[in-house]
Amino acid sequence: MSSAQLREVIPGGKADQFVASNDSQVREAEAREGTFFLELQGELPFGQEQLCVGDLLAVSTEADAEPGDLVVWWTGSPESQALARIEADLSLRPVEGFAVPDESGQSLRGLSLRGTSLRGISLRGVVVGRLRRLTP
Amino acid sequence: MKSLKKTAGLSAWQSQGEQDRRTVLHVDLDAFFVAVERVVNPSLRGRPVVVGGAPEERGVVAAASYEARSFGIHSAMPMAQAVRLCPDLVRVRGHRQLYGRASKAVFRVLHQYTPVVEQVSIDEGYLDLTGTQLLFGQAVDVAERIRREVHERLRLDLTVGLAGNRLVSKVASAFAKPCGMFDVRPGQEASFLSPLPVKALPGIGPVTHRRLLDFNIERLGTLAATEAWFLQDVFGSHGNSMRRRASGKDDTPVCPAWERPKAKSIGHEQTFSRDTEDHAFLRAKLQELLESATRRLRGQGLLTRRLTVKLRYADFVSETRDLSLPVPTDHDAELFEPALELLRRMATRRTLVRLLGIRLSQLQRGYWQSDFWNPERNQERRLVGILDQLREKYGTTSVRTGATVKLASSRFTSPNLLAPPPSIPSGKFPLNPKFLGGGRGFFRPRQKPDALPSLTQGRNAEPAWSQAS
Repeated sequence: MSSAQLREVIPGGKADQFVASNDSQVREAEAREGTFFLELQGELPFGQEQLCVGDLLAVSTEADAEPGDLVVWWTGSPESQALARIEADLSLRPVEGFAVPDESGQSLRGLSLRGTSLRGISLRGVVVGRLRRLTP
Repeated sequence: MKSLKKTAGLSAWQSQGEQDRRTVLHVDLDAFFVAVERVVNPSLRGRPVVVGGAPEERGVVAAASYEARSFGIHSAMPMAQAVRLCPDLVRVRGHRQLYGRASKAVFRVLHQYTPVVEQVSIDEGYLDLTGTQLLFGQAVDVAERIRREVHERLRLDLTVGLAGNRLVSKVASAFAKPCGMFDVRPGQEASFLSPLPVKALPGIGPVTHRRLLDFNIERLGTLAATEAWFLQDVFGSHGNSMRRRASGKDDTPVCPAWERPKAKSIGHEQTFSRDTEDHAFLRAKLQELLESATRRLRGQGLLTRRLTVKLRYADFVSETRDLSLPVPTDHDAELFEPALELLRRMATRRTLVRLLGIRLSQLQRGYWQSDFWNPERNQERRLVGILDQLREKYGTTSVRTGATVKLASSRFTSPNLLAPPPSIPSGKFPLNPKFLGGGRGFFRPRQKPDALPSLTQGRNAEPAWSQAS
């Protein structure tokens, strides 16, 4: 059972000026090109991943995913997305606290990994960075 | 293709082997002058504040708080205009000595985490955290610790950009402002930059920006994908550099003050008393210029990473070619072959040459690295040191190397020593029989006295921030 969630947000601050579109309609911006932001919410186990609740993940829809990359994938339900890492054998390994890709959709072999789907798994983008607002 | 072996056992964030990658932190103090004023006078908190001269004295805004910026006020704006935009604006005249002291205190904190700290302005600097992981942990944790320490001890806020090189860390911190940290995943530098507007890249000013927009190049991804020859045609050598930087590549080192040379480059050039097309003469002159320039390098304890050769023809058309060296050096023998190759590439016109010059740039403090496996190279380098001592004692022309000895003789003729190597198509070189035949009558060019700086110059330089008060 996944306990962490990702929610699309507008980052605020200077980052807004850099993103392709800072319209309120984030989906529109994503459809055009560029980077969008997802906020980590819920409960995230403290692990090796160094991710904290409140981190804003910058996700690129244009980058090609490669083994070792952290990616955002749709879990199947329209608003549900999760974080996973692409393994050397091109399978998805879930990040702790997020949904596990099912067996039928686990293999990504032979897939052009940009914005396409295979056997139920659709990659939304590649995590290129993380924005953390530093509060005392 | 990224290394897959290193992914085992590491976190997703550091899957690309953060440990063995370069890690550069760019730190930028938020609204620094205003923040210092607020420490001194807490009543300024939460109010629109600017630091700068009085409007009646034609003062300008030196710094503005974020509250003031929301009114459209920015630095360098005339104060009179700022007051018009925000009638409740609080203006502070500013205390430069105070800012200097605060900056010094901040950089003292930064120095606790790495000795490789480069201060680029009073409120901005780079830290190279490569190799500090075993001491202080992950770079991202170091960034948070620094930020917390600066906030708690000095009550100032830092914005931090973390990436694999200076350029991307600088863009990342601009992205994270105010009071944030942006950590670019290792290996994702190009993807991070790709959707950003071209003006986000440091070094692209208003003129270049307009020019890029004329060609419909709006995003850094587009710039990185543009053909190199096109950018070279439009922007010259700056074009290729822009293209490389737009794809997130930058190998500029973080250079602390004690490593930073006072001079940015060392150049020697000579206009000949008679124009020439004698390749052997040019070759000998090139050697001589390199010898005198590298002697200055060695005298100041510097190494160079970039070599530029300049050629001016009799019709005043000038050409320059440059290249980056794989390893920093101060040894003329290691620079001669690359310099000769650059000269070969340039000397393609059937025109007499008027001037030859070389320039050594991207200087850094350091000493030549000996090679355990190449004792001959080490011997050569030791010989150069001995020659330096002789020249210092008996004069610069007291000892000459074989290539330049003929420059001192009364006649100078030789076969064409500058003939292209077999790998270079001969069509690129002039077919002028005089060129292929080699020498012309000798003429002795005027000797330019070498300005040999004091050996102590630069070595005893204090770090910039320790001199600031």
